[in-house]
This record gives sequence, structure tokens and C-alpha cells, in this order.
Amino acid sequence: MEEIVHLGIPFLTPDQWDVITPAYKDFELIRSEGPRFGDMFKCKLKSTKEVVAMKILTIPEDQKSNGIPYSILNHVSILKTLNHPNILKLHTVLRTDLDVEDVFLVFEYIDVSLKKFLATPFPIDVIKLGKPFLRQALSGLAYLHVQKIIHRNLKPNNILLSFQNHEISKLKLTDFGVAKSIEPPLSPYSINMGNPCYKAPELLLGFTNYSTAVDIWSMGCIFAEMIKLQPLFIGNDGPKILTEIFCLLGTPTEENWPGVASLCSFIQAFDPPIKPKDLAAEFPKLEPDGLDLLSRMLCLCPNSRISAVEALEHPYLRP
Amino acid sequence: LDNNQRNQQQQGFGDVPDELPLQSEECLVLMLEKEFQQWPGVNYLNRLQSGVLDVGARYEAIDWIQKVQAYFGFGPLCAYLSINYMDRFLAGYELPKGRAWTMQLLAVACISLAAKVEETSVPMTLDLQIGESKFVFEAKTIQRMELLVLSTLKWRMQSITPFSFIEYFLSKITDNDDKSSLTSSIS
Repeated sequence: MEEIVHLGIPFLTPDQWDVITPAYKDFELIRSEGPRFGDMFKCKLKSTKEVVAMKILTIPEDQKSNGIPYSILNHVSILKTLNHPNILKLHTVLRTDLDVEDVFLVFEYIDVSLKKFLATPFPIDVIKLGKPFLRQALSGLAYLHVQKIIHRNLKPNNILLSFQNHEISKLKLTDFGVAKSIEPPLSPYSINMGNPCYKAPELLLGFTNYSTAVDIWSMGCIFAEMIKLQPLFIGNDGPKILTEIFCLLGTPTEENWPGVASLCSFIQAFDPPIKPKDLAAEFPKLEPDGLDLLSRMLCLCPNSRISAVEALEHPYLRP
Repeated sequence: LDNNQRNQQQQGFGDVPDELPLQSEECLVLMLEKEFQQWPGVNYLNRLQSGVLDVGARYEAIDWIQKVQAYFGFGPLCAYLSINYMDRFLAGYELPKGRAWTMQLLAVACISLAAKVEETSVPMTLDLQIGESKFVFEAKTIQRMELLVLSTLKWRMQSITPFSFIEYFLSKITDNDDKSSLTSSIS
């Protein structure tokens, strides 16, 4: 979904209007995420003048006979368990009349997404801000992961930032629309959500028993994108992205990813196997410690990929 | 006053401290805190014991929930969550007295929500109403009840259950660091 800035006044049905206008004013659309995830708009609380972000989740027409759909239930109940400085805070779920079928979420308001920053003519100075960026982003991820929650849709659009004196003053992960709480007994998970460019190889290869490592991969892609100023892997579908990944990092082998060849026989078709490129040549601006961390975040084998907690202890991020 | 209200609000929304839990011990503390927050409370137990709340109706509802669980092959966590939702709801909301159907509607809404949270394949809410229940509700009615349960429980549906602690205890009784193999072996 493309982020469109200054979209004007959000489209609201008369019912939605009736729910929110008594307490809120000055509506301005800030993020358009399509009908499934709801648009996000900025508005002001009339009583305190506080600026907040609001998202309205609507029950799809074809699911109306089946109560509150899983997607909304899962989305809101995960948000309710989260309370961390690096995760966009859900202030409240508006109480509505029982005849109103939409769910109104009120969040704290943060200026803009990383995606928008990367598109400006003066993007983030990653040499200076890469460390504080990763530290905050990984703190948020570590918090999620110890609670056994996988975000599953990390991308520059879902990382909100605000700056003060050219320093990152706030970094917040957002959009938990497809997040998943892992609780044993484990059942196969869906592999269809998220933007393919930031998808981990195990997802692209169709493994359904993936874990929190998929978020680390996405964060590695995002960090690389901040340096390159373009997505690390570009393509419209899984196979294209997978090829891009193998071209940069080499094809996985039984040595570096035990079991991969038996589960994905087509990997043997890469004969001879593709050799990994030298990351230092790809990212000449990045210091050696940074390269090491990046390579651990972009480790093909999910079980050997660095965890958020370990990454925070990495020499690159040590204060 | 404003600040005071804000603080109260914060407490209302906020549940866990802002610090980052890194150790499994800290994670355990977090889970215990959350478990405590969603406990229906002594008052609820007293009201059940003293007969202010109808214990019989509660058992009947639980019995029906377990029948639905068995019929559709739902996991044990699903039944646990349904009962957890039901108790938390009854602790915070007074159902109109003398109308037996309200308890049945609550049981339908609770298992419907729990199944959606927990199960991968979920029947339509209408079809959940199996057995010889005296009352059968329309989809619209169930949906409204679901919403009432959700707002009464403040949308905290990711309950901490005994199942949440399994991994912690398993890690305590083995020296194995490979948690992924542990979790998969109990799945």
C-alpha cells in the first residue's frame, strides 16, 4: 500500500461521523492502508486539544453474519497487551452503541513514517542515526518477541519517527493488523501476509512453522534500505525476491541451513550454487561492526539468525 | 486535575511497566502481573458462593461450552479461554436477573470469541449452537453480545492461561537452550 500524504478529509459514513464528532475535531487523513486495515487519520480531542491518530476497523460485508471477525479481534487484543516506548500506543478503543459495527481505535500521534523520510531529498544520515534507529527498533522488537508476538509486516511504512534537533526523538513500530501471538500447541501459520520485499526466506520458501526471526530479517532489510536509499530486494512476487536474496547472500546449503535442501528440492537446481557477495563492497559506507550485525540479521537460516535481544548486545549497538 | 485524570487514564490503559523484559524471569513476572490483572477477584468468588450469582447457571454454561469444544474438536485452550471470558464478564457486568437465556447467550458469545482467537478453523457463529439448548440466537444478537463482552473485558482477549507458563517450566526442568525444539515437541 502506498502512503499518500495530505489526503484531505477522511471518508466517513454518517454513523462513523456520529460516533466521533462529539469528542473529536479537525480530521485529516494521514495513511491509507486500504479497506482491510482501515485508514488512519489525525484528529484533535476537543476537551484537551490533544492530537491523536484514529483508525476505524470495519467488519467486511461478507463477514457480517459471523460476529466480530478474527482479524479485528486479533489486531485489537494484541494491541491491548502492548505497552512499550517503541510501540505506537493504543490509547483507547471507543465505546460505541451496540448498533455501531465499526471498531474505533485511538492511538498516540507521531509525525511521519520512515518510508516518507527515505523519500525526502535529505534522508536520514544513516552513519549518524543508524545506531539509535536500530537500538530503538530492536528494543520494540525484543519486547514483542519475549511476549511471543510476531509482527509479520515490518516495512518502512510501519515505522514511525519523530525528530528533534536532527536526532531521532521517538521511534514507534505500528500496524499490528497481521501480528500473531505464538502459543503452544503450535499450528501451521499463514505465509501470505506482508510485503514480499521484506519477507524472510523461510516464508518465501513456504515454511509454516516460522518464528520471531522473520521480523529480524525484515528489520535487516529496512536497515539496509536506509543505507542504500532503495529497497534491498526489489520485486513483485516471492520467486523474484527469493532470486534476489540468493544473488546477494548465496543459495542456502545443508551446512549453513540444515534441512533446507530436503525440504525445498528446487534449491539443488542451482548448480553450481550461487556464492554470496561481499557485503562490505555492497555497503561501503557501513563500518565493520555494522556490517557484521547486518549479516547476522540477514542470515538465511532462521535458527542461526540473531535475535532482537542478542542484537541489542552486539558491539555495533553498544553505547 | 487534568494531569490526575491523565494518570488515571494511563493506569486504565496501561498494564505493564515500560521496561524491556529481557530475561525469562522478567517475562515470568510480566505474565504473573497480567494474570493477576485479569483475575475476576475475591468479590466475584464471594458472590458465587453466597448465591448472589447463580452457580448452577455457571456450571450449566461451562458444561455446554465443553460439549461444543468436544463437538468441533477445539483444543483445551479454547474451552479455558471461553470460561475465562465468561467469569471476567460476570465479574464486571450484571446480567438481568431471572432470564435464563442471558447466560446461554453469554456462553455462545464467549466460545465464539475464544474459537476465533484460538482455533484455525472456526464454524459460523450460528452453527456453534449445537445440542438441545433451549434458546437459539440470531447472528446479529450474538454479534452484539460479542461486542458487549469485548468492551466489558476492555478487549483484553490474549489471556494468560496455565498454558502460557508451560514453556517457562520446561526451560526450568531441562538445560536445553534450544527452546524451539521444546515448543515443537509439546505441540
